[in-house]
Amino acid sequence: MKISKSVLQAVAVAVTVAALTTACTDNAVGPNGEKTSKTKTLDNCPACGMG
Amino acid sequence: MSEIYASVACNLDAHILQASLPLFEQEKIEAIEWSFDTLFKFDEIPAWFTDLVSEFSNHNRLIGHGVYFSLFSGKWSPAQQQWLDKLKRLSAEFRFDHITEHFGFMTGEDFHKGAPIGIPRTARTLALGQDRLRRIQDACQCPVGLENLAFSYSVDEVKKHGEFLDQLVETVNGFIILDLHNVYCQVHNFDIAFDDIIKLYPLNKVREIHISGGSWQQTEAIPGKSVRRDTHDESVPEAVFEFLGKAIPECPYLKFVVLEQLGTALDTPSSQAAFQADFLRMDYIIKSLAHGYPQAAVYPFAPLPGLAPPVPLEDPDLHKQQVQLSRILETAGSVSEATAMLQSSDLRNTAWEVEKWAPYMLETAISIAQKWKDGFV
Repeated sequence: MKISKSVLQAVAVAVTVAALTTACTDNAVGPNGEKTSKTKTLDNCPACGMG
Repeated sequence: MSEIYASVACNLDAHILQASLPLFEQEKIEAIEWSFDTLFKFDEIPAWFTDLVSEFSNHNRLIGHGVYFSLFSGKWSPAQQQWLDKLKRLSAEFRFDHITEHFGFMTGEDFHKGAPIGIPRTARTLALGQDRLRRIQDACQCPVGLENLAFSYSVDEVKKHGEFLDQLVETVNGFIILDLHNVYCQVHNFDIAFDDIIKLYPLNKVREIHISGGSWQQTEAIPGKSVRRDTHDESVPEAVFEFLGKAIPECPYLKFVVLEQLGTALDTPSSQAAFQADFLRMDYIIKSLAHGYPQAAVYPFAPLPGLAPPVPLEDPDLHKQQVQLSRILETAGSVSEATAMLQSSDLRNTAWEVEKWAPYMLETAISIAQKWKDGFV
Protein backbone atom coordinates (compact mmCIF):
# COMPACT_ATOMS: atom_id res chain seq x y z
CA MET A 1 0.00 0.00 0.00
CA LYS A 2 1.24 3.46 -0.83
CA ILE A 3 1.95 5.64 2.19
CA SER A 4 2.37 9.38 1.88
CA LYS A 5 5.96 10.56 1.69
CA SER A 6 5.60 12.94 4.64
CA VAL A 7 4.44 10.12 6.95
CA LEU A 8 7.26 7.84 5.84
CA GLN A 9 9.81 10.60 6.33
CA ALA A 10 8.52 11.26 9.84
CA VAL A 11 8.74 7.55 10.70
CA ALA A 12 12.24 7.37 9.25
CA VAL A 13 13.43 10.35 11.28
CA ALA A 14 11.86 9.02 14.47
CA VAL A 15 13.36 5.55 14.26
CA THR A 16 16.74 6.90 13.17
CA VAL A 17 16.89 9.21 16.16
CA ALA A 18 15.80 6.35 18.39
CA ALA A 19 18.43 4.03 16.92
CA LEU A 20 21.17 6.59 17.49
CA THR A 21 20.27 7.01 21.14
CA THR A 22 22.41 4.06 22.05
CA ALA A 23 22.92 5.06 25.66
CA CYS A 24 19.34 4.06 26.31
CA THR A 25 18.37 0.39 26.15
CA ASP A 26 14.72 1.22 25.72
CA ASN A 27 13.05 0.33 22.42
CA ALA A 28 10.09 2.66 22.71
CA VAL A 29 10.04 5.88 20.73
CA GLY A 30 8.89 9.14 22.25
CA PRO A 31 6.84 12.00 20.82
CA ASN A 32 9.80 13.62 19.09
CA GLY A 33 11.61 10.47 18.16
CA GLU A 34 13.52 10.27 21.43
CA LYS A 35 13.61 7.13 23.51
CA THR A 36 11.11 7.27 26.31
CA SER A 37 12.12 6.91 29.93
CA LYS A 38 8.85 5.52 31.23
CA THR A 39 8.75 2.40 29.14
CA LYS A 40 10.48 -0.77 30.29
CA THR A 41 12.50 -2.75 27.80
CA LEU A 42 10.10 -4.66 25.59
CA ASP A 43 10.57 -8.39 25.94
CA ASN A 44 8.89 -11.35 24.36
CA CYS A 45 5.21 -10.78 23.84
CA PRO A 46 3.17 -12.34 26.65
CA ALA A 47 0.19 -12.72 24.36
CA CYS A 48 1.82 -15.45 22.36
CA GLY A 49 0.77 -18.34 24.56
CA MET A 50 4.12 -20.03 24.67
CA GLY A 51 6.17 -16.89 25.16
CA MET B 1 -11.29 -16.26 -2.07
CA SER B 2 -11.17 -12.51 -1.62
CA GLU B 3 -8.00 -10.43 -1.85
CA ILE B 4 -5.45 -11.34 0.80
CA TYR B 5 -3.28 -8.62 2.30
CA ALA B 6 0.33 -9.25 3.26
CA SER B 7 0.61 -7.59 6.67
CA VAL B 8 2.97 -6.98 9.58
CA ALA B 9 2.37 -6.72 13.30
CA CYS B 10 3.36 -3.09 13.68
CA ASN B 11 3.62 -1.42 17.06
CA LEU B 12 5.34 1.57 18.60
CA ASP B 13 8.74 -0.08 18.66
CA ALA B 14 11.85 1.36 17.04
CA HIS B 15 13.27 -1.96 15.84
CA ILE B 16 10.00 -3.21 14.34
CA LEU B 17 9.59 0.09 12.53
CA GLN B 18 13.22 0.06 11.35
CA ALA B 19 12.79 -3.44 9.98
CA SER B 20 9.49 -2.53 8.32
CA LEU B 21 10.50 0.83 6.88
CA PRO B 22 12.06 -0.49 3.63
CA LEU B 23 8.94 -2.61 3.08
CA PHE B 24 6.73 0.44 3.66
CA GLU B 25 8.83 2.41 1.17
CA GLN B 26 8.52 -0.34 -1.44
CA GLU B 27 4.71 -0.40 -0.87
CA LYS B 28 4.93 -4.09 -0.02
CA ILE B 29 3.03 -3.90 3.26
CA GLU B 30 -0.66 -4.00 2.46
CA ALA B 31 -2.07 -3.82 6.00
CA ILE B 32 -0.89 -3.52 9.60
CA GLU B 33 -1.98 -5.21 12.76
CA TRP B 34 -1.74 -2.92 15.79
CA SER B 35 -1.83 -4.17 19.38
CA PHE B 36 -3.68 -1.10 20.52
CA ASP B 37 -3.77 -2.05 24.21
CA THR B 38 0.00 -2.14 24.65
CA LEU B 39 0.08 1.64 24.72
CA PHE B 40 -0.50 1.74 28.47
CA LYS B 41 3.28 1.96 28.73
CA PHE B 42 3.37 5.31 26.98
CA ASP B 43 2.53 8.73 28.37
CA GLU B 44 1.93 10.09 24.91
CA ILE B 45 1.57 8.58 21.45
CA PRO B 46 3.76 10.43 18.93
CA ALA B 47 1.86 12.10 16.14
CA TRP B 48 3.95 10.42 13.44
CA PHE B 49 2.86 6.99 14.71
CA THR B 50 -0.78 8.06 14.83
CA ASP B 51 -0.34 9.33 11.26
CA LEU B 52 1.06 5.98 10.17
CA VAL B 53 -1.85 4.10 11.76
CA SER B 54 -4.27 6.57 10.19
CA GLU B 55 -2.88 5.93 6.71
CA PHE B 56 -3.84 2.27 6.99
CA SER B 57 -7.10 3.08 8.75
CA ASN B 58 -8.10 5.42 5.92
CA HIS B 59 -7.54 2.63 3.40
CA ASN B 60 -9.45 0.01 5.42
CA ARG B 61 -6.17 -1.80 6.01
CA LEU B 62 -5.93 -1.57 9.81
CA ILE B 63 -6.69 -4.47 12.13
CA GLY B 64 -6.52 -4.43 15.94
CA HIS B 65 -5.08 -7.23 18.07
CA GLY B 66 -5.70 -7.12 21.83
CA VAL B 67 -3.25 -8.56 24.32
CA TYR B 68 -4.52 -7.91 27.84
CA PHE B 69 -8.30 -8.34 27.95
CA SER B 70 -8.05 -11.84 29.52
CA LEU B 71 -11.17 -13.18 27.90
CA PHE B 72 -11.76 -16.09 30.27
CA SER B 73 -11.07 -14.54 33.67
CA GLY B 74 -13.87 -15.81 35.89
CA LYS B 75 -14.17 -12.47 37.65
CA TRP B 76 -15.02 -9.28 35.78
CA SER B 77 -12.51 -6.53 36.55
CA PRO B 78 -12.61 -2.73 36.28
CA ALA B 79 -9.53 -3.00 34.07
CA GLN B 80 -11.54 -5.03 31.56
CA GLN B 81 -14.18 -2.30 31.45
CA GLN B 82 -11.44 0.31 30.95
CA TRP B 83 -10.07 -1.84 28.13
CA LEU B 84 -13.48 -1.83 26.46
CA ASP B 85 -13.87 1.91 26.98
CA LYS B 86 -10.49 2.50 25.36
CA LEU B 87 -11.37 0.23 22.46
CA LYS B 88 -14.58 2.18 21.95
CA ARG B 89 -12.67 5.47 21.84
CA LEU B 90 -10.05 4.12 19.45
CA SER B 91 -12.74 2.63 17.22
CA ALA B 92 -14.20 6.10 16.89
CA GLU B 93 -10.79 7.51 15.97
CA PHE B 94 -9.62 4.72 13.63
CA ARG B 95 -11.44 2.34 11.35
CA PHE B 96 -10.49 -1.19 12.37
CA ASP B 97 -11.38 -3.78 9.77
CA HIS B 98 -11.63 -6.22 12.63
CA ILE B 99 -10.60 -6.70 16.27
CA THR B 100 -9.11 -9.86 17.74
CA GLU B 101 -8.05 -11.21 21.12
CA HIS B 102 -6.40 -14.34 22.46
CA PHE B 103 -7.93 -17.50 23.82
CA GLY B 104 -7.29 -18.17 27.52
CA PHE B 105 -6.90 -16.17 30.70
CA MET B 106 -3.99 -14.18 32.01
CA THR B 107 -2.27 -15.42 35.15
CA GLY B 108 -1.29 -12.76 37.64
CA GLU B 109 -3.30 -10.30 39.68
CA ASP B 110 -2.19 -7.19 37.81
CA PHE B 111 -3.95 -6.53 34.50
CA HIS B 112 -0.65 -6.09 32.69
CA LYS B 113 1.27 -8.90 34.34
CA GLY B 114 0.99 -12.62 33.81
CA ALA B 115 0.85 -15.07 30.92
CA PRO B 116 -1.95 -16.48 28.82
CA ILE B 117 -2.98 -19.96 29.88
CA GLY B 118 -5.76 -22.22 28.63
CA ILE B 119 -9.02 -22.99 30.40
CA PRO B 120 -11.27 -26.06 30.51
CA ARG B 121 -13.86 -26.39 27.75
CA THR B 122 -17.23 -26.44 29.51
CA ALA B 123 -20.67 -24.92 29.04
CA ARG B 124 -19.81 -22.34 31.70
CA THR B 125 -16.54 -21.25 30.12
CA LEU B 126 -18.26 -21.17 26.74
CA ALA B 127 -20.90 -18.82 28.13
CA LEU B 128 -18.23 -16.66 29.77
CA GLY B 129 -16.23 -16.34 26.57
CA GLN B 130 -19.33 -15.55 24.55
CA ASP B 131 -20.29 -12.81 27.02
CA ARG B 132 -16.86 -11.21 26.66
CA LEU B 133 -16.88 -11.41 22.87
CA ARG B 134 -20.25 -9.66 22.78
CA ARG B 135 -18.82 -6.83 24.89
CA ILE B 136 -15.83 -6.48 22.58
CA GLN B 137 -18.09 -6.34 19.55
CA ASP B 138 -20.37 -3.79 21.20
CA ALA B 139 -17.31 -1.62 21.82
CA CYS B 140 -15.73 -1.85 18.37
CA GLN B 141 -18.78 -2.39 16.12
CA CYS B 142 -16.78 -4.44 13.66
CA PRO B 143 -16.02 -8.13 13.10
CA VAL B 144 -14.47 -9.84 16.14
CA GLY B 145 -12.20 -12.86 16.21
CA LEU B 146 -10.16 -15.13 18.48
CA GLU B 147 -6.66 -16.55 18.00
CA ASN B 148 -5.81 -20.19 18.63
CA LEU B 149 -3.53 -20.66 21.63
CA ALA B 150 -0.09 -22.22 21.24
CA PHE B 151 -0.08 -23.69 24.70
CA SER B 152 -1.95 -26.88 25.57
CA TYR B 153 -1.64 -29.15 28.59
CA SER B 154 -2.64 -32.29 26.72
CA VAL B 155 -3.25 -33.73 23.30
CA ASP B 156 -6.98 -33.89 24.11
CA GLU B 157 -6.99 -30.11 24.48
CA VAL B 158 -5.28 -29.73 21.13
CA LYS B 159 -7.94 -31.83 19.43
CA LYS B 160 -10.84 -29.88 20.98
CA HIS B 161 -9.45 -26.39 20.46
CA GLY B 162 -10.76 -25.68 16.96
CA GLU B 163 -14.30 -26.77 17.74
CA PHE B 164 -14.38 -24.71 20.93
CA LEU B 165 -13.17 -21.61 19.07
CA ASP B 166 -15.91 -22.21 16.52
CA GLN B 167 -18.58 -22.31 19.23
CA LEU B 168 -17.19 -19.19 20.91
CA VAL B 169 -17.15 -16.93 17.89
CA GLU B 170 -20.52 -18.17 16.67
CA THR B 171 -22.23 -15.86 19.14
CA VAL B 172 -20.84 -12.73 17.44
CA ASN B 173 -20.81 -14.08 13.91
CA GLY B 174 -17.08 -13.96 14.43
CA PHE B 175 -13.97 -15.53 12.94
CA ILE B 176 -10.69 -17.03 14.03
CA ILE B 177 -7.03 -16.19 13.60
CA LEU B 178 -5.17 -19.30 12.63
CA ASP B 179 -1.68 -18.82 14.06
CA LEU B 180 0.41 -21.28 12.12
CA HIS B 181 3.40 -21.06 14.44
CA ASN B 182 1.08 -21.95 17.30
CA VAL B 183 0.00 -24.98 15.28
CA TYR B 184 3.67 -25.72 14.62
CA CYS B 185 4.21 -25.76 18.41
CA GLN B 186 1.43 -28.32 18.80
CA VAL B 187 2.66 -30.43 15.89
CA HIS B 188 6.02 -30.73 17.62
CA ASN B 189 4.96 -30.80 21.27
CA PHE B 190 2.30 -33.48 20.81
CA ASP B 191 3.71 -35.30 17.79
CA ILE B 192 0.66 -34.77 15.59
CA ALA B 193 0.68 -34.24 11.84
CA PHE B 194 -0.23 -30.77 10.59
CA ASP B 195 -2.82 -32.26 8.23
CA ASP B 196 -4.52 -33.95 11.17
CA ILE B 197 -4.63 -30.79 13.32
CA ILE B 198 -5.72 -28.40 10.63
CA LYS B 199 -8.84 -30.35 9.74
CA LEU B 200 -10.01 -29.89 13.33
CA TYR B 201 -10.25 -26.11 12.83
CA PRO B 202 -13.22 -24.32 11.23
CA LEU B 203 -11.25 -23.17 8.21
CA ASN B 204 -14.30 -21.46 6.72
CA LYS B 205 -14.04 -19.05 9.66
CA VAL B 206 -10.40 -18.11 9.22
CA ARG B 207 -10.12 -14.43 8.34
CA GLU B 208 -6.53 -13.97 9.45
CA ILE B 209 -3.39 -16.09 9.58
CA HIS B 210 -0.31 -15.39 11.69
CA ILE B 211 3.18 -16.64 10.99
CA SER B 212 6.20 -16.11 13.22
CA GLY B 213 9.23 -17.79 14.73
CA GLY B 214 9.95 -19.16 18.17
CA SER B 215 12.40 -21.08 20.29
CA TRP B 216 13.14 -24.48 21.80
CA GLN B 217 13.19 -25.32 25.50
CA GLN B 218 14.75 -28.47 26.87
CA THR B 219 12.56 -30.13 29.48
CA GLU B 220 13.59 -31.90 32.65
CA ALA B 221 10.39 -33.93 32.67
CA ILE B 222 11.50 -35.95 29.61
CA PRO B 223 15.27 -35.77 29.11
CA GLY B 224 16.12 -35.16 25.48
CA LYS B 225 12.70 -33.78 24.58
CA SER B 226 12.42 -30.17 23.51
CA VAL B 227 9.29 -28.05 23.72
CA ARG B 228 8.55 -25.52 21.01
CA ARG B 229 7.57 -22.12 22.38
CA ASP B 230 5.91 -19.25 20.59
CA THR B 231 8.41 -16.59 21.58
CA HIS B 232 8.39 -14.60 18.33
CA ASP B 233 12.14 -14.03 18.56
CA GLU B 234 13.42 -15.84 15.49
CA SER B 235 12.79 -16.04 11.78
CA VAL B 236 9.91 -18.06 10.42
CA PRO B 237 10.76 -21.79 10.23
CA GLU B 238 10.61 -23.51 6.87
CA ALA B 239 7.78 -25.75 8.09
CA VAL B 240 5.59 -22.75 8.90
CA PHE B 241 5.98 -21.44 5.35
CA GLU B 242 4.95 -24.89 4.13
CA PHE B 243 1.92 -24.78 6.44
CA LEU B 244 1.01 -21.38 4.98
CA GLY B 245 1.05 -22.81 1.47
CA LYS B 246 -1.23 -25.63 2.58
CA ALA B 247 -3.60 -23.46 4.64
CA ILE B 248 -4.33 -20.61 2.22
CA PRO B 249 -6.31 -22.69 -0.29
CA GLU B 250 -8.38 -24.13 2.59
CA CYS B 251 -9.48 -20.75 3.98
CA PRO B 252 -12.02 -19.19 1.59
CA TYR B 253 -12.55 -16.04 3.67
CA LEU B 254 -8.91 -15.32 4.48
CA LYS B 255 -8.19 -11.60 4.25
CA PHE B 256 -4.98 -10.89 6.21
CA VAL B 257 -1.74 -12.81 6.64
CA VAL B 258 0.40 -11.22 9.34
CA LEU B 259 4.13 -11.62 10.00
CA GLU B 260 4.88 -11.22 13.70
CA GLN B 261 8.27 -10.68 15.30
CA LEU B 262 9.37 -8.94 18.45
CA GLY B 263 11.33 -5.71 18.33
CA THR B 264 13.87 -7.17 20.74
CA ALA B 265 14.73 -9.75 18.09
CA LEU B 266 15.14 -7.14 15.35
CA ASP B 267 18.01 -5.15 16.79
CA THR B 268 20.68 -5.98 14.20
CA PRO B 269 20.90 -5.30 10.46
CA SER B 270 21.01 -9.04 9.78
CA SER B 271 17.89 -9.79 11.81
CA GLN B 272 16.07 -6.92 10.10
CA ALA B 273 17.14 -8.25 6.70
CA ALA B 274 15.89 -11.71 7.67
CA PHE B 275 12.55 -10.19 8.72
CA GLN B 276 12.26 -8.46 5.35
CA ALA B 277 13.12 -11.70 3.54
CA ASP B 278 10.48 -13.56 5.55
CA PHE B 279 7.90 -10.92 4.63
CA LEU B 280 8.72 -11.08 0.91
CA ARG B 281 8.54 -14.86 0.95
CA MET B 282 5.17 -14.69 2.75
CA ASP B 283 3.97 -12.18 0.17
CA TYR B 284 5.12 -14.43 -2.68
CA ILE B 285 3.26 -17.43 -1.26
CA ILE B 286 0.10 -15.35 -0.84
CA LYS B 287 0.24 -13.91 -4.32
CA SER B 288 1.03 -17.25 -5.93
CA LEU B 289 -1.95 -18.93 -4.27
CA ALA B 290 -4.59 -16.25 -3.86
CA HIS B 291 -5.29 -15.81 -7.52
CA GLY B 292 -5.81 -19.48 -8.21
CA TYR B 293 -9.09 -19.68 -6.35
CA PRO B 294 -12.51 -18.13 -6.93
CA GLN B 295 -13.52 -14.95 -5.13
CA ALA B 296 -15.72 -15.46 -2.06
CA ALA B 297 -19.09 -14.01 -2.94
CA VAL B 298 -20.37 -13.30 0.56
CA TYR B 299 -18.92 -11.26 3.41
CA PRO B 300 -19.62 -13.58 6.34
CA PHE B 301 -18.44 -11.85 9.51
CA ALA B 302 -20.63 -8.75 9.79
CA PRO B 303 -21.06 -7.64 13.43
CA LEU B 304 -24.31 -8.32 15.21
CA PRO B 305 -25.93 -5.32 16.92
CA GLY B 306 -26.55 -4.75 20.65
CA LEU B 307 -25.68 -8.11 22.09
CA ALA B 308 -24.18 -7.77 25.56
CA PRO B 309 -26.42 -7.88 28.65
CA PRO B 310 -25.89 -5.04 31.16
CA VAL B 311 -24.16 -7.12 33.84
CA PRO B 312 -21.05 -9.07 32.84
CA LEU B 313 -21.24 -12.79 33.44
CA GLU B 314 -19.00 -14.09 36.20
CA ASP B 315 -18.00 -17.55 37.39
CA PRO B 316 -16.74 -17.40 41.00
CA ASP B 317 -15.71 -21.06 41.01
CA LEU B 318 -13.63 -20.61 37.88
CA HIS B 319 -12.09 -17.46 39.34
CA LYS B 320 -11.10 -19.31 42.52
CA GLN B 321 -9.53 -22.08 40.44
CA GLN B 322 -7.68 -19.57 38.28
CA VAL B 323 -6.26 -17.81 41.33
CA GLN B 324 -5.06 -21.13 42.71
CA LEU B 325 -3.58 -22.23 39.39
CA SER B 326 -1.82 -18.91 38.90
CA ARG B 327 -0.30 -19.16 42.37
CA ILE B 328 0.85 -22.74 41.78
CA LEU B 329 2.44 -21.95 38.41
CA GLU B 330 4.11 -18.80 39.69
CA THR B 331 5.56 -20.35 42.85
CA ALA B 332 6.21 -24.04 42.23
CA GLY B 333 9.87 -24.96 42.25
CA SER B 334 9.44 -28.11 40.20
CA VAL B 335 6.94 -30.18 38.24
CA SER B 336 6.56 -32.61 41.13
CA GLU B 337 5.86 -29.78 43.54
CA ALA B 338 3.31 -28.27 41.15
CA THR B 339 1.65 -31.67 40.68
CA ALA B 340 1.31 -32.10 44.44
CA MET B 341 -0.12 -28.60 44.81
CA LEU B 342 -2.62 -29.26 42.01
CA GLN B 343 -3.74 -32.47 43.68
CA SER B 344 -4.55 -30.59 46.86
CA SER B 345 -6.26 -27.71 45.02
CA ASP B 346 -9.81 -27.12 43.85
CA LEU B 347 -8.71 -28.09 40.33
CA ARG B 348 -8.42 -31.75 41.26
CA ASN B 349 -11.03 -34.02 39.64
CA THR B 350 -12.62 -31.15 37.71
CA ALA B 351 -13.02 -30.19 34.07
CA TRP B 352 -9.45 -28.88 34.17
CA GLU B 353 -8.42 -32.56 34.02
CA VAL B 354 -5.10 -31.81 35.72
CA GLU B 355 -4.60 -35.55 36.02
CA LYS B 356 -4.10 -35.70 32.22
CA TRP B 357 -1.65 -32.82 31.93
CA ALA B 358 1.62 -33.80 30.24
CA PRO B 359 4.42 -33.20 32.77
CA TYR B 360 6.65 -31.50 30.20
CA MET B 361 3.84 -29.07 29.36
CA LEU B 362 3.21 -28.38 33.05
CA GLU B 363 6.92 -27.59 33.26
CA THR B 364 6.48 -25.24 30.31
CA ALA B 365 3.47 -23.57 31.94
CA ILE B 366 5.55 -22.97 35.07
CA SER B 367 8.30 -21.40 32.94
CA ILE B 368 5.84 -19.15 31.15
CA ALA B 369 4.00 -18.06 34.30
CA GLN B 370 7.20 -17.34 36.22
CA LYS B 371 8.66 -15.48 33.27
CA TRP B 372 5.71 -13.12 33.06
CA LYS B 373 4.52 -12.77 36.65
CA ASP B 374 6.18 -9.36 36.93
CA GLY B 375 5.13 -8.20 33.48
CA PHE B 376 7.54 -6.24 31.31
CA VAL B 377 10.52 -5.66 33.61
